[in-house]
Amino acid sequence: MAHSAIEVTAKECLYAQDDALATIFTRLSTSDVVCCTTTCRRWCRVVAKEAAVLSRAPSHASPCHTRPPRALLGLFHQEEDLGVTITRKRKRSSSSTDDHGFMVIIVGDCASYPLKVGSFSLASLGRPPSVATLTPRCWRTPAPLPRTTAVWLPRSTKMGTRLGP
Amino acid sequence: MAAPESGDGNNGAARMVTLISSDNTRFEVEAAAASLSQTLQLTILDGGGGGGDGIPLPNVDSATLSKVLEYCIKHAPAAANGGAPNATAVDRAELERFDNEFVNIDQSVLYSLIMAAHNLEIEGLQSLVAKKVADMIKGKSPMEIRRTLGFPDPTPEEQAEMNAHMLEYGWAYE
Repeated sequence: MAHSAIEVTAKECLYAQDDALATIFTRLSTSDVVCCTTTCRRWCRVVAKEAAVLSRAPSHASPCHTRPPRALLGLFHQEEDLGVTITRKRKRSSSSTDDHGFMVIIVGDCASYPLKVGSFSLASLGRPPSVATLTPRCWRTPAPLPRTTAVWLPRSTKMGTRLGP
Repeated sequence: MAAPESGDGNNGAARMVTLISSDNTRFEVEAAAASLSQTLQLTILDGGGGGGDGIPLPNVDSATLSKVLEYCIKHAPAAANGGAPNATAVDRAELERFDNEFVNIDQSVLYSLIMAAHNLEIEGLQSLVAKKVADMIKGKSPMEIRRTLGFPDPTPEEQAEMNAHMLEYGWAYE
């Protein structure tokens, strides 16, 4: 589908330059960045690494000036052996994961946004982890649990808003 | 293509500098235009790039560099005016039109531009190309993004990972 010349350049460029990618991601909406995290491992890593930059980025000179600035960005990261465990109330069809802990990594001033995301209460974490905890191990944890979802919320999101259906 | 007059005449005869691309092509441009690049600006302020020596740019090939310089030359007068309180709406509209046309290019050229803009630290060009790529990504699914940007097809392993991810977290994408 793609011409090989483009493929090489795409590899070189979009795979290689973190800050170039960050510049692009700051111009995307929440849902688009979430899609980008799944596009490839590399991008997932960049989103995680540049999360602080992304969450603080002013809504850019894209057509919609009215878009509210982002309040925070979080990564939902599922791992077995974490000290922090949040009970997962949400029932999924595949309930096998319900026994495992969730680490919620928040960038930004979490304390002033005791939000609920989906059915996870971020406030229940107590102390917000620092940006440094964003080391993106997400794709390297052993199967079957390496699943990370990046989420950020516009400032206008109300307390207790559920992101999920 | 005529440059607006406002940018000229500020510093008498415009100083020229020479830039040398990775494939040894020499480009002579006004110092004011090359100074849009933060990387080059210091060298130029130090008096480099004049006369016979020129500034080598081993990371930028000639095709890309000429494209970059096209942008710089067009934007230099406005930058010299410091964001231009006296720029007319016509000038601004003209720049905008130029920008839109400028990024209407082949993907491979676009990617080279991204790299060059970051190497040379040309802020305006960085955001211009970033906006273009962002527009290509907007509203697409992960697979569509890969296809649009010409990424190699995912390995079966990656594909399985993506599928499993969507199954579990599909709600986050709605």
